[in-house]
Amino acid sequence: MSFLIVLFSVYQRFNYEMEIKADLYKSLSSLFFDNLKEEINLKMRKKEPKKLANFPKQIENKLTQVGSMSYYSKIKNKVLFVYTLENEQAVLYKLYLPPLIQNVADKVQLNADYGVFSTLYEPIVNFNLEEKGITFYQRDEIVRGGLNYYFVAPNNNPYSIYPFYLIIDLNLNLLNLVLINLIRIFIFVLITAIITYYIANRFSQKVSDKITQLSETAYLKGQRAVKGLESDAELPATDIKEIDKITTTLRYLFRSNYDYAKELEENHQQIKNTNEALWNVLILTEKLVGNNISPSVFQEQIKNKVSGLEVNTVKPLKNLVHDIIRINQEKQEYLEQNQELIYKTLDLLGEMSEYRDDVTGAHINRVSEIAAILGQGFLNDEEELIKLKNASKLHDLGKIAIPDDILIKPGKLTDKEYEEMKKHARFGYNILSRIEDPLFDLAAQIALTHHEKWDGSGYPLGLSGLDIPLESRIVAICDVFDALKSSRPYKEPYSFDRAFKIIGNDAGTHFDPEIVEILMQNKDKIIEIY
Amino acid sequence: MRKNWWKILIAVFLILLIIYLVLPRQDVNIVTQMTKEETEGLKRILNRYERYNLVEFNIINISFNNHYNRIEEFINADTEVDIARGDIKMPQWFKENVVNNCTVDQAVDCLVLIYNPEIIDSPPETIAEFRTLAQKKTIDKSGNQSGAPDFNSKQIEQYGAYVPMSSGWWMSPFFGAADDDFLAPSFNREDFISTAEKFKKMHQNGVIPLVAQDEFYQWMMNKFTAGKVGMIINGPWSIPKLREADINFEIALLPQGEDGRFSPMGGQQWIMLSDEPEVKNVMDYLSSSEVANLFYKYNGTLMPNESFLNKLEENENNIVAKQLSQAVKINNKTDYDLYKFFSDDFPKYLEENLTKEELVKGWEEKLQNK
Repeated sequence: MSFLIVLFSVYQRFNYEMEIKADLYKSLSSLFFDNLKEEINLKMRKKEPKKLANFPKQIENKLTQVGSMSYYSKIKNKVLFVYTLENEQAVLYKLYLPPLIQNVADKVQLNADYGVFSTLYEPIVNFNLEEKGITFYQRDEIVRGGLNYYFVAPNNNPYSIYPFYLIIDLNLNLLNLVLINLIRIFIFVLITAIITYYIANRFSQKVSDKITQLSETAYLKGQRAVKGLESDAELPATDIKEIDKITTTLRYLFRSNYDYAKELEENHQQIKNTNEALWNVLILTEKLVGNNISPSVFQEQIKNKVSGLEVNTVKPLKNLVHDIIRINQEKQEYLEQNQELIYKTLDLLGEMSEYRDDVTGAHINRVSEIAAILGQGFLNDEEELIKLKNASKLHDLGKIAIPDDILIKPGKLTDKEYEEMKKHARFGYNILSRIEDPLFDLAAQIALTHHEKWDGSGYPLGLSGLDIPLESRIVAICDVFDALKSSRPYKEPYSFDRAFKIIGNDAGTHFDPEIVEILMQNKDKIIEIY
Repeated sequence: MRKNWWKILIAVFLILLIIYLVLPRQDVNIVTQMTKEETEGLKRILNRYERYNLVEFNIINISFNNHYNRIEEFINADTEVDIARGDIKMPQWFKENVVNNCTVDQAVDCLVLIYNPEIIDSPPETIAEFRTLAQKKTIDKSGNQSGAPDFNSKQIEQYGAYVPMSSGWWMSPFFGAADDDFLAPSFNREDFISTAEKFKKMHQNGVIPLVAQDEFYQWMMNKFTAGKVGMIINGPWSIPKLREADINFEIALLPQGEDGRFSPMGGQQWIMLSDEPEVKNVMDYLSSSEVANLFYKYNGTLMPNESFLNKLEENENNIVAKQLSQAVKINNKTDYDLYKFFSDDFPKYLEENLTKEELVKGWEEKLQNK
């Protein structure tokens, strides 16, 4: 590439200089020949020609040829011979040309290396063409001789006495030109390289700084945009078209990212809110299912929890809530029905347990009622009270396992029979404990320990004091009280006073004195039962 | 395979090209007295020949003046000259150099009126109009027209016309238009004197300067191409130079006198000076119709081919062809007589160094001197 540049540069320079010089020498040569003609004419006017008797034979006819203008001329050994007629006299002029030519060259200030030649390329002044490497047939305007170039100017005047050739050295030595151009190019390249390096360095530094700035800003903003923290996506320009295009894309991406992050955040929040709402719904549902809150409270609280959610979320949620409430309602009803069924079953079981010993179902209910009244003194929970009330009905269930001859023996039982009879407590426990249910657990417990006595003299376990379950202590009083008030085959029902008195007398021995106290406090209520 | 085929073709082409470039060519040396501009046209014509023949032409230009002498000098110096271009009026002493008498007419020429349409609106039809226009369009540096009281003949800015009054060739159209026998001993003296007087008057009025014999041609062409002359008389050989000068010019028939229009007929020819077969081929080429057309195209010159000239005159209304059809052949002697008389006697007459009677007498003697 450099070689081509050098070649091209040399060629350009060469052509340029050649053109300049050729134009210059064209004008100069024209001037030269005009002056030479003047010089020759002047010389001829001043010089006395040699008069001839006749023209030489070979010349005679040549003076009349077309275009001769009555002259015949030739050059020999740098002398111009001119044969002509002057006033019908044949004359010969001999003019030594070199000084004339030199005068002319000085006059026109021809400073370059030059030569003047005849038509036959014979040198009249200065250099030898052969030495210069110029051949006879090289008659073009510019000829090359070796590495040098010459301007060839013939005298174009068609009517000049003698045509000369003026050959001027263009001083365009190819080798010198190449060297000069190489040096020029080298200097130019060097200066250009230095300037380019400086500019490029500065430019590259500037570009590098801009790119660094862009990179850092893009990183920071990008980070923030991805997290949805930065909405400003403006990035610095680098003034490099390709990179700025990327920057535009980055800006767009950051903005999109930010918007997406924001949207995501909103969605997350929405999801969070929805999750929270759902969680709250679940909690409330659990509470509702666990009967810790009423359906109205559930609905009210649900309303608060779902407010602010999207419509698309609220609607199904509300539908869900309605379904939950409905299902809960149904569950409650079912439970209630179930509970009622259980209680009725318990009643039945209670009646069944007393059926054979001719005790009416009323005993079961009265015991249950009295137990409920006494239970109020100790139990605050309504459910516990209901449980006590129902569980107490099965205290004598075990009697169904006692043979009739013992159970319905009208007289006093023997010790052996009494021992058999006492087994009804365990029997009742055995039956009721097989059902895993809190109500039946309580019933089983009451059945087992309702004959235990405060002082530990009861049966079957001989528990005493507070070791006897509360419910059993209560049922014990209720069972005895009602027995005192009930008609038996072996006795008539006692009066309330007597019954209360008997119970009171056994407080601290048979019965829990505290419970007896409650009994005494609720005499009226108890009496009402009867 | 297809790709290879192309490669082979290119390779063959390159080989042929190298052979063509490297093969030695025969030098054919041509000496011509054409103008520089005409030579350029010749080079283009010869380049065509070089393209298809293993020949290399070397062209040496010599001046028209004494061109046969110069050619003889080359021959005597044992310089190879294969073909020379010379005037059709070949001197006898030169003919012995011509191989096998082989010459080919290269151009026939005559004189025509060449005018600058920016100075001359329309060319003069008659000699009288020519003179009137010449006077009218001659203006001094102050803008005064010739004939005006303040006209300064020593400070002419523009000439209406220039005619080389020291050249018989150029003056012949005026004398011949007045008397078409003026080249014969039976010429009309009154007409001759009348024409001469008119020119003298124009010269004395500063309308037409007298320029030295060896300078007039250059002067005329320089002035015309510089736009300082409205009309000149010249031949078709000058057309390439006018084209190169990029001057606005038109060609018209010579103005006519009482005896019509007169133009001397000249011409140039190719002269075979070598008996090499290739030189003969070149001569044949130079005589071809193709070359005739090319010379006309490039140089505006006309080869003496009848059909070619007829075609020019009829189809293209070519002025030179038209003028040529009326031109008069001039022999060597007449040519010399014209030269001698107008280069010697006539200037003296213009400068009042000869009377008109002496002038006529001198012309008479010339014509009678065979």
